[in-house]
Amino acid sequence: MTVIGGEGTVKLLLGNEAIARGAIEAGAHLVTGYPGTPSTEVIETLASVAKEINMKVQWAVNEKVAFEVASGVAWSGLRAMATMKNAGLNVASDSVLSIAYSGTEGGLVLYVADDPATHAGMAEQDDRLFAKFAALPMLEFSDPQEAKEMVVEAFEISEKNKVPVMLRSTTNTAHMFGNVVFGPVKKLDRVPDYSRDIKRYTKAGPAWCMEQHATLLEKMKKAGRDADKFNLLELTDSKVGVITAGAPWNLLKEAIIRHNLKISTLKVGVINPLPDEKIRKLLESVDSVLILEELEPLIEDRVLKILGEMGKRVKVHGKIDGTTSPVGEFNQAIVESALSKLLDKNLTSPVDPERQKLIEKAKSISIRRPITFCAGCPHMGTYISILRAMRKLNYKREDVIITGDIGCTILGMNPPFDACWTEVAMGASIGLGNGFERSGIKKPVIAAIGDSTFYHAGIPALIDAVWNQTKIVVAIMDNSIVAMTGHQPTPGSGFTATGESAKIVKAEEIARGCGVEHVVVVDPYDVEKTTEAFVEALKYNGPSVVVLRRLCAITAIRRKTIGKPLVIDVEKCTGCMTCVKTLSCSALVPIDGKVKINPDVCIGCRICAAICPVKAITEGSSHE
Amino acid sequence: MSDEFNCIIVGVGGQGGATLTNVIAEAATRKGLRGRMHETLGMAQRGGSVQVQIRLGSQVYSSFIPPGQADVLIALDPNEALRAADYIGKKTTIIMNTSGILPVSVLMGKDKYPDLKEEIPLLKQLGKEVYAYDAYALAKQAGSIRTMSVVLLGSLARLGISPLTRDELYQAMLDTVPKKYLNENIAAFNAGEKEIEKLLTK
Repeated sequence: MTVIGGEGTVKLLLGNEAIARGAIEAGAHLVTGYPGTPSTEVIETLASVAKEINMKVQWAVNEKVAFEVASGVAWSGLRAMATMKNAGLNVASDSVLSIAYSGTEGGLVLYVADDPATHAGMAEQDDRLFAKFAALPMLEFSDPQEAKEMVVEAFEISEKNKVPVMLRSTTNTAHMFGNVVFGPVKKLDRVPDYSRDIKRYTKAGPAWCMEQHATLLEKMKKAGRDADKFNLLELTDSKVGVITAGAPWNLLKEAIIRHNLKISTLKVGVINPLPDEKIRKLLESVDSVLILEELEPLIEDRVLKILGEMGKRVKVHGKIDGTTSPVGEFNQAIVESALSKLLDKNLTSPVDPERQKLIEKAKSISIRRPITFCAGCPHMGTYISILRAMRKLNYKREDVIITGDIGCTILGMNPPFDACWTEVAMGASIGLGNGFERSGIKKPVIAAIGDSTFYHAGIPALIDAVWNQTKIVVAIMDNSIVAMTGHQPTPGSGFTATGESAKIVKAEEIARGCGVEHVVVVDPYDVEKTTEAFVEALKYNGPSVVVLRRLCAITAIRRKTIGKPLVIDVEKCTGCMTCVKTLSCSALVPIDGKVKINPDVCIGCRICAAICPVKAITEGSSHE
Repeated sequence: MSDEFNCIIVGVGGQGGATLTNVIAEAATRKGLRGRMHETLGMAQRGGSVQVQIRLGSQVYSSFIPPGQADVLIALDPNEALRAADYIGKKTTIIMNTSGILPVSVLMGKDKYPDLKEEIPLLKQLGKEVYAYDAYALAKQAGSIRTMSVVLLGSLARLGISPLTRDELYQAMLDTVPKKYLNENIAAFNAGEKEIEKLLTK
């Protein structure tokens, strides 16, 4: 409910919530996307109020579909937005580049959340370069208030110039809370309509395509001029200047206040096309300039080009002279050190060697907390069963290649399972696995993939396995939820984003439909049957699918469908620690040489009971 | 930046760090304080490190607390307090739950969980004051282990070291926690206040 309120309401919103509010104020008809940190909260926020605001809010099966759906709505004259994380834009890319050529009728906004310092894994790709590559206008905000304003403006500019507009955040700005003042909500009572115009909406001939390209470049430039108010130029009589954008702008502002600096600044809000005129004005007034931008030297490259045109010598500090690194995100220390170089005086805080020693000491006695499966996670049952099936068939760990995929299922790469060998991209476990098999390696291949990941991008690779007769075991770990990003529904969950019931798309039916002949469905809590299923699948000569169906433990807790905590019979427990060493379940606590079950954490999955060599783990009721 | 207040909350996923954050943020918003805040959630829903940074002040722009500049560190887990050592400075008051969550590596005997006898003196040397007690046990007594973060909130309120008064934090807590669990949370808040009183009189 955080995003509901009348004009003038002030609320503390997350960057992503502010984007959601912006979509409401702009009168968007539909918002869709695929969950991906740090972009997920936009749709989660809107889904919770969708009925109240009469907006269509949906999760799409993947980002490409999301952008296509949003475009179909926008081509019908209504406003639509698609949201995704950086890697998701790679999936959507094919359609984005093509739809850019056709433009749009209704406002169409593509929100992408980048992740410098890879808080959520994946590549540190700089999607500002994507906007340039796709010739799409792109805006980037520095705080939640600006995020909301930019969304509203992005819809206006998109509609006025008939071009999709990209909006970019980074983890810091997407996940930053700040006060947001609400604006009025636009009431758009539009009747959807779409007219056939193949010169605009198809790519049937080179002449049409090139004309679409030329039109796009014009629209992009105009859109940039229309958004110029987001480029803030502040000239002083100082001979030094800083150009920045996004999250580093906040760090710069604080440094200016803290050290009482007098410098000229340009905050770039329009990433594509860059504001050449304002950049030129700043460069005219300075002898040296610092470009504060995370990841790639996009603005810096432009600055160097403009300086070349101007024929002026200005000292440029940035990525190229090594003042800042193209890896990771900025913090106060990095910005102060860069400013020190620009101003040729030390702004960095003095280091007290005694304190530094204490800090090092504190860190040295602390321990890392590797992320693990939750207590009762069904994936534990899957990986234990895979490892048991391998032993039954006399395979050693190094004898079977287990390709991993995106999402919670990849936690099988960590101890104590140490199962997965690879993590590449959504659905890639199956494609890579097909490749390992076809290389001729004499090792069986198991692809471990989650249900949502399978629907998202695993299906084509499964068809490839069938078509090209690949002997591969595909383990579809169906917990009926996108767990890693915060429990969003999947096509197999029976629910939509807004909680309405939906037809369940079953992974086993897809597998059979793709032509897989050996398909079994098991409950990973049943370690014995699951082990047997993997033994059979590994023996099968052809593509096989094992669907591991059991609701995510956290979702089960929320839906109150969990079992009673188990207990360990202290008389029987020999303290062999097999359960602890095999599962590392957080409910299993070693105490005084034996193991106890923490009843606050245990959900009674019984995986440990199946593993205990002396059958000391039993249901609680008889012992309580 | 005289009115600047920096609060860092560290813990493990599922410990209630989010509730604590929501209450402080709600109280600050009601008071009309300007602020920035961010959370680092790590990759997993449960079991991973969680860190929240809350900054209040008229001239605060970034959501990052500069090194050594935390006014308050609230640690839901002792190991996580150590991992936030960079933010502890001479002005930092540390409120810490002493009942830690043991990571897999400790359960498997590969790592040793930090010893409080070594940790607390170290934190005292690094920071201004340390209030460490078993908030997990107090939460259990209050009726639910899920109220542990509210126990620590009660301590923060009692200490009066934030720009928010005891009553402002208390009221925001009442309006933020689920109505079903109101009694447990009130008991937890009071237990956190009492614990501080005990520690102060020692």
